[in-house]
Amino acid sequence: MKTERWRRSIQIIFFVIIALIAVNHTLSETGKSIPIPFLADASLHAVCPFGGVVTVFKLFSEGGFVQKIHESSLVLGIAVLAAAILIGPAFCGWICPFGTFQDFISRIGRRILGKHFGKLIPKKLDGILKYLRYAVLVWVIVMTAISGKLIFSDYDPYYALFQFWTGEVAISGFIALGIVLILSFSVERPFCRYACPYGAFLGLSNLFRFMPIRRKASTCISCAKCDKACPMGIQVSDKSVIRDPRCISCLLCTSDAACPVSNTVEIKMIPYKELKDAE
Amino acid sequence: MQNKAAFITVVLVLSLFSGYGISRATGYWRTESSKIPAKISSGEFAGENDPGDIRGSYSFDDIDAAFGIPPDITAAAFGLTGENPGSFQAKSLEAAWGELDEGVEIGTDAVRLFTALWCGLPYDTEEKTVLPEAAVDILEINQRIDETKARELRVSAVKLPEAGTAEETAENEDNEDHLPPDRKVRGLTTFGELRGWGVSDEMWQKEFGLPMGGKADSMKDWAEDTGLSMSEIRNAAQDMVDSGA
Repeated sequence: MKTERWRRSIQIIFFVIIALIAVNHTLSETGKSIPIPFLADASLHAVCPFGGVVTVFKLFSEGGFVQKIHESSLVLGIAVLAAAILIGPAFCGWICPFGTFQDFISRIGRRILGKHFGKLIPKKLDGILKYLRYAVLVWVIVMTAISGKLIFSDYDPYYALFQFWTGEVAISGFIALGIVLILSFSVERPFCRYACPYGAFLGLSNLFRFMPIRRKASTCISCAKCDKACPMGIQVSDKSVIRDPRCISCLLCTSDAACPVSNTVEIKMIPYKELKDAE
Repeated sequence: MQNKAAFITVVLVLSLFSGYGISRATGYWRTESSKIPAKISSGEFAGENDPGDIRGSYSFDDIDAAFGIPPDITAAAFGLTGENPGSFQAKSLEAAWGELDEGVEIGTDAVRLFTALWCGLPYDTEEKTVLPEAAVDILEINQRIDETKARELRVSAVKLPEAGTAEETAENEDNEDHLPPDRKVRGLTTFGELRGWGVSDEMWQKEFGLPMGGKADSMKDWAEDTGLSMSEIRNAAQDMVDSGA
């Protein structure tokens, strides 16, 4: 099984699990739950690791959780962070159901638009917009700390997608979902690139992760296929070690996928000295 | 070829499931509120349970356990009757009463305010929060507030349409079973019920310029879909029901 097909399988499995949990939660609230082991009654908030990030302030200051966030979010948040320290934000590239949703829409968009796909946002603008998600992250953390409430859920397209039938989604959430949906036909992972606060947070792990994506310049043939493959718009071909916070460890740029030369672009634990030299 | 992909998968699955497994084994894993509110952290009431931390998922029994308010008192304050008021969840009030006149709502925040007043604890309400008149009466009769405070609360207090039953609203999803015998239109009243009470598509179309919703759609759903206020819909629908009766 090729890397991309493998990744897609994992993405689909987690997408289905989250969708089932969301439906099951609704059913459980009406007393008609179908039993899914372990997480039968969990709300979408309870299984979102980002809840573990936004509740940290309240946890340390008051010893409690932000409304609708529970211990499970914190546990998952720590688990994802631990994985990110080793392999980067692979959660975004492999598990996040909203990333999967965008990937799916973009695949359709690529078929429709052909070579015009990905041309909507000029590189210069992309270079500015990529910082927007940090502003969103700061806003979410500060406002959640001040209000003690999960304020982002009113604007969260992920929440809107998996809760659209509940009547609990704010109109702003549907608008955000609509914008992401439309943009995804022409831009890969627009929400991840420009607005996702959790992606912004996890992306910082790229700066120090133990196993970065590495490009071996000595065997690279400069075909730039790695650049074209990257769904986050990172220029891989001019770097020895990818420390770009946008990397989602999807492995699409590696020698297991786009790169035609074996052992040239790969995720690898690099000895400290070699890493320093490479960087 | 797929070694790296398999490696990523193993790392992700291991980290998630070991986190889940360890927390579950130690009893830390929890996917819903413990129903134990946070404590007030500072000031005169430091260490007391904080009414501001009451969640929508709290039942009247949970509130009783945390604040010592008998469930039948809370139910009566919010215009609910029935045999098992303890199982009624605070968040179900919004669905039960919908948006009342002038954009005010009776919901979880009203329960927090009532609880705070009953216990003599501090709480800053949200802007639109008011109490039902019955709640103010109960607080005053039980000497939880003085006359001045009661007068102040009555300025904004709302008169609830009429008593609902806790069971009726707690099981509001079963729309077929939710048939108020008095033909009162509420947030949870469905178009199926309205049709049964003699409201026709023509009458509805004439009043709102829009077709009626589906059989299982509630007034609250329709208000959210159309952006019209709940009170406007409820009043007009009630007039139609009354004229057809």
